[in-house]
Amino acid sequence: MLGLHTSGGYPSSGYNNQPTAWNNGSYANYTSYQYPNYTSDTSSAYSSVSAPATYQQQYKQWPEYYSQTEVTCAPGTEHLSAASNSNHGSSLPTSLPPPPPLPPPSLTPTWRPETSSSELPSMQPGGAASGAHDNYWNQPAPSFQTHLAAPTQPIYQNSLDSKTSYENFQELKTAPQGLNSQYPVVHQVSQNYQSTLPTVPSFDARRVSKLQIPTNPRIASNAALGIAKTEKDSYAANSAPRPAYISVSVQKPNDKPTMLPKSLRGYVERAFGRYKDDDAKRAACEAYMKDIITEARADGTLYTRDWDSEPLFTVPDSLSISKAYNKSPVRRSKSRWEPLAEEKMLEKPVSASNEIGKYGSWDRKTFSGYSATKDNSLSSFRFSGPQQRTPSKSAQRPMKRQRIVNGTGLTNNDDDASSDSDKEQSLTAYYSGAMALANNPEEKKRRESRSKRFDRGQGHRPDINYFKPKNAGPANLYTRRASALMLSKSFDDSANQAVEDIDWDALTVKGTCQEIEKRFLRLTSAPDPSTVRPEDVLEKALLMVQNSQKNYLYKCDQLKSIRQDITVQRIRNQLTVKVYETHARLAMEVGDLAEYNQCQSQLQILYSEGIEGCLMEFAAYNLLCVILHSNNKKDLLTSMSRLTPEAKEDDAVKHALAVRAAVTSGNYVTFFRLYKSAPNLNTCLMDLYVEKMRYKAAVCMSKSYRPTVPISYIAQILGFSNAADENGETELSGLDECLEWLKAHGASLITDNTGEMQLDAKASSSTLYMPEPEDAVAHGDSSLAVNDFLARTT
Amino acid sequence: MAYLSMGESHRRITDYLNRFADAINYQDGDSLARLFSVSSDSPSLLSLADALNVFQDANRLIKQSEKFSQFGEVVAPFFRSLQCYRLGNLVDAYGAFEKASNAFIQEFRNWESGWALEALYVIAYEIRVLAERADRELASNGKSPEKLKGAGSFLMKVFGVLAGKGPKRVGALYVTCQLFKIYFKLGTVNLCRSVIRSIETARIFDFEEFPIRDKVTYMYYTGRLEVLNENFPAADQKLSYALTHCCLSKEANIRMILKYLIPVKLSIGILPKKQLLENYDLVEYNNIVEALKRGDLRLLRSALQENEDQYVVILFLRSGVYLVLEKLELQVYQRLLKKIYIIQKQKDPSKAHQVKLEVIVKALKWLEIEMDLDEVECIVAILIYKNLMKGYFAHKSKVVVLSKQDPFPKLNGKPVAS
Repeated sequence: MLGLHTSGGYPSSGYNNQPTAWNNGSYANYTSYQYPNYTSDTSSAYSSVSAPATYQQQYKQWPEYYSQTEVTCAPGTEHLSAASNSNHGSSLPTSLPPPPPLPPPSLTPTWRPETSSSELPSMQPGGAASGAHDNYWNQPAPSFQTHLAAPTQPIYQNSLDSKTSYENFQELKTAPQGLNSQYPVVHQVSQNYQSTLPTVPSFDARRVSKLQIPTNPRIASNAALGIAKTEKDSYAANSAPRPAYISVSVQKPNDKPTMLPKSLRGYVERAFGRYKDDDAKRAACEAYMKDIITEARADGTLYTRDWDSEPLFTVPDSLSISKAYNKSPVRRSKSRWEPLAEEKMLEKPVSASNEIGKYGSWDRKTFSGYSATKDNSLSSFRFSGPQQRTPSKSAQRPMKRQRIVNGTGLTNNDDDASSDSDKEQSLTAYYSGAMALANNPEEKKRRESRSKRFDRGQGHRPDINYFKPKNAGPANLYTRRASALMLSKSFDDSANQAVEDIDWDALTVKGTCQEIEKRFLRLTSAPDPSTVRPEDVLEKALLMVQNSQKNYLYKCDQLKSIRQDITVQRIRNQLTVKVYETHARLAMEVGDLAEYNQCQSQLQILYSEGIEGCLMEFAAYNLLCVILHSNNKKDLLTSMSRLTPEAKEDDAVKHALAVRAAVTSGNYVTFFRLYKSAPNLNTCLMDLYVEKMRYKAAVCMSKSYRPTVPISYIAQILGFSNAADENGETELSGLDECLEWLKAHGASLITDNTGEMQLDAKASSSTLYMPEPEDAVAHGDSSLAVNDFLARTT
Repeated sequence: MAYLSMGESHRRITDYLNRFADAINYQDGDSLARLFSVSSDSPSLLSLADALNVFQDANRLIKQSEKFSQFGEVVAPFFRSLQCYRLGNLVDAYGAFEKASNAFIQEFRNWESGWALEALYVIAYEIRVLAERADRELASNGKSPEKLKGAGSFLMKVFGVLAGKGPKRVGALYVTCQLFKIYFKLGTVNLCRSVIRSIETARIFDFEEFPIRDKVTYMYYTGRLEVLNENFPAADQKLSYALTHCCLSKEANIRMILKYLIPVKLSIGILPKKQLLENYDLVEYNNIVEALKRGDLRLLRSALQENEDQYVVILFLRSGVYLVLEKLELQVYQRLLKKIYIIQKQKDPSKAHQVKLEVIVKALKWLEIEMDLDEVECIVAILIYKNLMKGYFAHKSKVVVLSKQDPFPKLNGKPVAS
């Protein structure tokens, strides 16, 4: 554990200003301290939420530890999320173990407590902390105290404001955490320690962010924006929070993405990508996104959902207007958030914040494990780790944008930061009126119904989610949540339905084309009914093809177009089977195995659906095909074990099984006998294997026969005289054919004293070879050679 | 279900959560494993399932304390799974269990040591078993069973988590074996190849370092794959490894190994003792062994002939040894010819090495197998070609002329030449 802070780089990296050094020290103690106490700590941390007394006590006991939490608390207080996050940013990385020195198991427990404690600050403010805080603030950063009173308020607002963009975005990722735990922090702090807190951590943060610039060019451009400003006004004008904000927002993408599936990040990016130019919508989009993700996390589909195919929502235009209006009340919403915070405190045990906090930390743990190894120094660490792993474009963009909005728009951030309190006062006065209106139940109701109307009109849920938090205020939080849940549920349902229960019948094309002949053309778009033939026309077309005298190429083309029309219209009946059977047979006759296989696999599906056809015939073909051409033992076994007893009585199937036996045993005599007696088109499939079988037989004979074998015998057993039933001439031609074949395969022939041609077995045994098939073509499938095709089929 | 009070249910659930949290905190893999084993029907899990069905809002219990809520992503779906399992809804039970497992894997990935491997084993096992049962349920409802396939891809993911370097690698073989079981069940054995490659090519980890249990299972399945490929020496080596390392008390496992090892041994010319077949209830091989001993082609054919009452053949087909057994026919011919040769030798040693084709045909006829001269000639040619018989065939005189030295060479552990 101590290996942690040696994590080096940090102290030596040069910014040993007070706060940092101090932080560093406390981290050291903190982490090392935590480890052994893992379990007790978590629980105590937890209890401290509800029982401030404990906290106090503990604080005294473990000053180091709590001073650390203090820090986290401090930033947390002024800039909302910036608070707890900058804190993660700084505390986590520092304490990140460069793992090597640690025994592996220690990692796990360490991080868990860590996370729970970093969560802690957000809960503490409840009242516990105030005493302790005094101590703290007096020690390390007395000089800063002076500025505090003024800045706090604006800063707070500022952060609230910016929340809509970058903060929300972050919430997207942490989901409920941002919602529940951070608000209370804000509220509490501003109530209690407004005067004290802000500067120190932010100062620290600024330094950090400054340091970051050189280390990571990608960020640099981004951060420069913030820093330039920082330097100019906030630094000088002591509006500290700026840099903290920057460092947070930069760090955010680092911190969170680890816990989100990549596809989700893509989804978020897509969602934001659409509103690049419209900040109002973007903000709405964020609010909405947050809910989606919260919801996904809640029902556990965060990692399982297919974000890539998740439909994007749309944010209606009208929103931007209402947003402008809504935005203002939020800005000064301190009074508004108060009740919420209290409510949250009470509700804490039930709320999801705990859970999420924990989860966040679980994940962070991972993250830290990863990145710590990468880099030791804090500054580079922040960026080098996750930053590079996740293209944080989407994460950064909102931040940037927000800045622009703030710079040009309603209230300037820097104005806030530099505590233009007069302006603030007047705004407050103005907005409090608006707030009162907003919180007025009637108004609330009206808006709700309006938003509902809207929702109905648009059929999208984002609007509600967006409106409610802004308009209806905290009191509505739970209703809002509930409705979001419900909506998202229905959303999910409809998405699911899209996959399974779409009414395909309603979408199926009904053809109107009356042409019998149609060329095949692969569809590249939805089929046009006017070019699709209805079933009765297709039947005629099939008949036409069957009776056609044209060659296979033409028939194949016609059959493919028929198959296409059938598929498009989802016709699955005897006609379908007939078409495929016809095509399969034609393909077999010309040896077009590719086309045959397509038909065969379709036929198997069709037969298994119970549609009648020549089941046995094709079962036999299937067997033959597996045996002779694919030689896949597993397939063969499955085909064989699937045969029903009736099937085994079928002649065609019997024949196929016999062929199989002959092939596996290499029994050429049986094979060629079966070849001659093949039913249906079994011969055609066997044809394709004949060459191989003959060659095997020749090799076998030349090895086992001595001294010679008469050619006439070879011709007879190797099936060369298959046309012999007519007359003697064909018999002779069979013999000649055999002679040719043997010569072509390198056999050595002699003539014996009776004048009969003999195979010289011994001589041939070393000279036999398998010649390259004559009709071989470059692409390896002779049946694709058009000329050959035409020659064979016409 | 006996009446269960809310309080009692609450107690059981928190008890489980506490045990879960403790198991993780103390890195107690065994306890954690027990907490996951849904299908073990352990009394504690069953009573938890009952409690969950009474106390519907278990998620609130989980979320309410930080101690538990950190496991929420694992425990909440697990509870749902257990509930569904108890109610007999296996499809949903599987779905929720996969969700819980997924969350668990995410965590497991981050733990540097392999302390939770036991739990992971249980998860891998449960995933497969639940998927199988869910598929049965789906099939009986007329839906397409697809869960086991899903379990396969999930386990592939788990395998990815384990397969790298480090202490977790010892778990990779267990997951591999579960994958094998799935692939063999689904009939997609070709998918085994990629897993095997990553197990066998990895140099960072010696195969012998895996747990023996997994090694035996792994060798059994890879041996079966070799049987399918008809690569008998490799199959023999793998199955023999499995047999020699298999725990002797696990008779069912030994029987399963022998079921494949015996045909493999037969095909390389090694016959089992009758006692072995009886001890392990493998009597379906009796006739085949007998046929090989006697050269009784008829017996072999009838043993492999599918009759109505011969479910054995269907078993052979299913297990995939049918094709292996069928190839024994040549060895039976060899034995028959050798018998003829020995009889001839007893009658007239000088002419013993010339066997007339007619004699063989006659002998086959006695076995009630009708074959004409051409067919027998072909068989003889093949026997000589495959080196089961030394000599040559004289076509003109229709006589097999046998070598005077060792005319019928024994296979002695070598496969028949192809």
